[in-house]
Amino acid sequence: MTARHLWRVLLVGAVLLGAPRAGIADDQASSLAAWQRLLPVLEHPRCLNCHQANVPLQGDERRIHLPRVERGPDGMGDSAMRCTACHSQAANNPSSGAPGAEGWSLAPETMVWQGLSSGDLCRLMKDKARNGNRTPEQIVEHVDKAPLVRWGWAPGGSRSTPPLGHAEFVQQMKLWAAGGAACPQ
Amino acid sequence: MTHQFPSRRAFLAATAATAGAFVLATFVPFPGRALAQGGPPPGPYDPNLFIRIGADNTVTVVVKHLEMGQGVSTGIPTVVAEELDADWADVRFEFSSNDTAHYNNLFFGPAMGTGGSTSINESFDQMRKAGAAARAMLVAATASEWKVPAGEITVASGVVAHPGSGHKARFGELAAAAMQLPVPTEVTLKPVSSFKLIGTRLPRLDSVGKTTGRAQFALDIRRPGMLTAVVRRPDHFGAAVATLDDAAARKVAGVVDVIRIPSGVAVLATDTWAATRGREALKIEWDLSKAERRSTAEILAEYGRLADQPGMSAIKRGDAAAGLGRAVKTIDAEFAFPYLAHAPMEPMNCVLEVKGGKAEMWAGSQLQTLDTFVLAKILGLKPENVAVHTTLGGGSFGRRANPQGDWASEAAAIVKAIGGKAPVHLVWTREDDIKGGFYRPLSFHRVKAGIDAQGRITGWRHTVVSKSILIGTPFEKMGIKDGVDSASVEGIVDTSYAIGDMSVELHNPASPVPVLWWRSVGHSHTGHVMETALDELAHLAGKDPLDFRLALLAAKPREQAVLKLAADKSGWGSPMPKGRGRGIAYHESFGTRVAMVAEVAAGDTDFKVERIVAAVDCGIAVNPDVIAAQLEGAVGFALSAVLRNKVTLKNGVVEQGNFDDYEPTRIGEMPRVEVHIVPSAEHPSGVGEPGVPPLAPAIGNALFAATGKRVRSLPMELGRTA
Amino acid sequence: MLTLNVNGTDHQLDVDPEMPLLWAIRDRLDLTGTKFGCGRALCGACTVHIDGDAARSCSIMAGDAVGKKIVTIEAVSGKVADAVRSAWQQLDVVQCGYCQSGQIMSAINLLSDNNKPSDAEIDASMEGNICRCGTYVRIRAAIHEAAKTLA
Repeated sequence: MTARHLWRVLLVGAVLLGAPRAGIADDQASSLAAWQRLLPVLEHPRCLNCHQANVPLQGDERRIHLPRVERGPDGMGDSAMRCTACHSQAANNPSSGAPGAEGWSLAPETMVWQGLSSGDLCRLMKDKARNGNRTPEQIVEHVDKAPLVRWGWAPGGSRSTPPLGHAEFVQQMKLWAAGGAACPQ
Repeated sequence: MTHQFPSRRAFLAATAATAGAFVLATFVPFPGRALAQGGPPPGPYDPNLFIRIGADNTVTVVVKHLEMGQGVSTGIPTVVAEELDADWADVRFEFSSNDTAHYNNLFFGPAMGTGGSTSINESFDQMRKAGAAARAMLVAATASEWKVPAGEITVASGVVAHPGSGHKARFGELAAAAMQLPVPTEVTLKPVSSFKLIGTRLPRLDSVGKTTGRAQFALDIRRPGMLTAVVRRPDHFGAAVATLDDAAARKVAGVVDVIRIPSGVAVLATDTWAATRGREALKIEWDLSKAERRSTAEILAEYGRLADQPGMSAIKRGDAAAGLGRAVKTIDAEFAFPYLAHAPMEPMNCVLEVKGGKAEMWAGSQLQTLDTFVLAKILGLKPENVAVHTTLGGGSFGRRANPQGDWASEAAAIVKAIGGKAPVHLVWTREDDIKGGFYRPLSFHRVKAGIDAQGRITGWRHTVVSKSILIGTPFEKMGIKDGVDSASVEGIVDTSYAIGDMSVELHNPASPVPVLWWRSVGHSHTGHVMETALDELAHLAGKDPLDFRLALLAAKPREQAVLKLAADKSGWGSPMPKGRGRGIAYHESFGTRVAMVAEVAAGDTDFKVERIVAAVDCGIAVNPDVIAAQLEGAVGFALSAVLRNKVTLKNGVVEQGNFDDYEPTRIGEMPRVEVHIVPSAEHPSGVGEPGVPPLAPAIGNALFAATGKRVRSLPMELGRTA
Repeated sequence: MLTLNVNGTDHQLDVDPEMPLLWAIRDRLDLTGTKFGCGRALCGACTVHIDGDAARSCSIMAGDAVGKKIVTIEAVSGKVADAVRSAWQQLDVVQCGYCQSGQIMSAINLLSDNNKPSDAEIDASMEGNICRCGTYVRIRAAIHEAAKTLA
């Protein structure tokens, strides 16, 4: 049994027992368990492809964005290669196939996830200096409501979706936040 | 005052007995070597066919070729204007009609067409004569009007003058009278040394239109009531429609009709978007009984097996086997080349309108005469009732010269099916283009070659496996000899290098995958094989690759000069930093000699081409800037085939479809390119294609110099060694 | 029915809002200087300016362009446009010319943002415009040339 499964059993057990107030250790354990379930979502191409340093990736094969585009001054590309040159800020383009959603851009430079360990990514997520000045609760709000995040679950075309459903993802984010946003080493 | 063309004369009277039975019996095929050597036969030079001088002094040169980027619409007018002594500022161009009796390509016999890098080569003398004849007619008209001796009249920069009397007139004032005069039977041409326009950097005549959006390509043609058609073709080459359900397609807003045609199912609509949406809604089952179902890996494996068996002899000189027996060192090298799509930026398209027993097509056609016959046959018209209006071609690289007239025949089938009730614009999408076949053939080569103790080549056995381009086309009769397609072995059997004991054998296996000439045709693979194998032999012999080549070109000063020029300008022989390498290659095609030195920076799995130094000898350099541009462009074009381009089949279905998986070179990959032209007074040869063949081997040889790794097959993938 | 402002004029068009702007421009307004190359925002032949920024009209839905100022190659004007066109003509950048409308529209965007781009900046900005004829050497040179005249 993997650690992830173990945590899930413990978590389900805690819920079933209706434990009124778990101890700090339990909170942390459930938070960590939630994080383990969040991680494959965050590392899924729908999320990670645009949490890149300078050049976004594309597709499930995570190839360099074609044509090659760069971050530019505001994460929206530069001069003739702005994101909006091809991507709608409202919806996928049914004709060209170019995906689109409100806020379509690279994630801010502080939110580069590529290459981070699970622990480092987790600590980045809750570091207000790097996460857009968000509290854990605001992160939950963000992943629940932000159109660009939600697009990851309705990406269109032949694009795969993250391993958790969106509702489940938000639920796990809540658990992670509620348990103190615990991070692995 | 402008002048009318002579009325269209009997169209191809000599050969056009029946539409569709058209065979180019006297045709010298594009890849034929004869082009370069014998020079073109004479053609008509009546100035009224090729030159129109307006009252406003403009000199409009009628160009019989397709402008597809190669600069012919500047080059041909330059040649005419030179002999005419026109003012370049007054010179314009327009495309000729498809009056084949007058506008045939002199190398193509009774056919109008652009290809094989022949344009300047075939019409240089003809256009000079037309210009000189017009000049003589202007002088004669002036002499009689001014009543002065013709010998005292001067012509310069569009002005005719008689210095003695002080008379002076611009062309526009004299042209009306001049062009009524009989065409001189003898014309005197300028000595090469007095050229004023030829050899200078004149601006392209198509630059302004192409930078303002005004230039008109076939895709830009609009006719009243025109419908747009797209065609759903099968995913498998050789498949046919079994069942069609078009109910949903007909419901798409804007869709007007759905028609079965031989190549698939056409959807007609009021605009392109509606047509493509209608096409997406078609439900078709395909009959695959005659279809290609193999994958390219299987085809290539079969080619590899064939290469080990005796093939048709393309050339046998001396005794290659005995020569190899004498060798002290040998190479045994295999080279594989993928199918390649031409992928011109303007997808295939044409507009066809049939009214009152006459047809008009607007197209960027490279083979107007063949397309005329294709249209005439399908539409049941006489060829003389089919007009082809040549538009600018948005690139071609050979794709718009299809002996089977694929897109013209689709348009004809559609217009015929709707009884000509509307003009039809047939449009291919990019996916149609990449998946649509007519590829550079998939090819496989095996070379066994050896050297003696002094490093001299003792024997060369070469086997080529490649589907024939010419079999089954009107070009078959001239292009195939004893079963051997010259387009598969050109560049080997006629190599410039002195290789004494040589045998070349060919297999041309059949396949439903349609193939076509792709910029430089057979040279696109044979040049790479020859220049890579030679480089391997040079290293085997412990000789400098440049010296090794020069020794094999001992009696060939033009070849040597080109190689030396490229080498000198590149700094050949000077040390390169670690991880970088320099490689040289030389190849002659279509009568033009090109050498290239490539500089590459190599990593473990990747490499960057940083600099290309090219030298070219194409005879008289009509426009050195256009020549440089063609060489620069050939580098950009051919680089994509070096880096990554390949069309592959999986169980018969093409795996690529657009510029993401068939990605041309982009600007960030473009190396610096320097082009040096060998001065020459020889008859000019073409520059559209000859820049392509030497690029890949120069890069491969540079990679070897940088890494010690030999990458033989294209595209070059560093993980792969053969 | 929607209204598109193209080259300074409002056009009432009876088109589906999902129709690519490219086809509205080419097939409804008959402005054919903007080219169709790939239909998937991969080649840049269809580049126009929307509110001054380069955009691939094959990947912009007509409905998304409502209320914006669309400018095509036929009408693009101003100091930068003039400098770019004249550099293109002076250096004879074009070969077949089919991609050049898009190249020029992208180059104008680049030089409007950056009046002295380096080779690397040119490459980064022009990466979305494919030229199959391979005129890239001259595209770079012409952008430098235009920058010089604008300086």
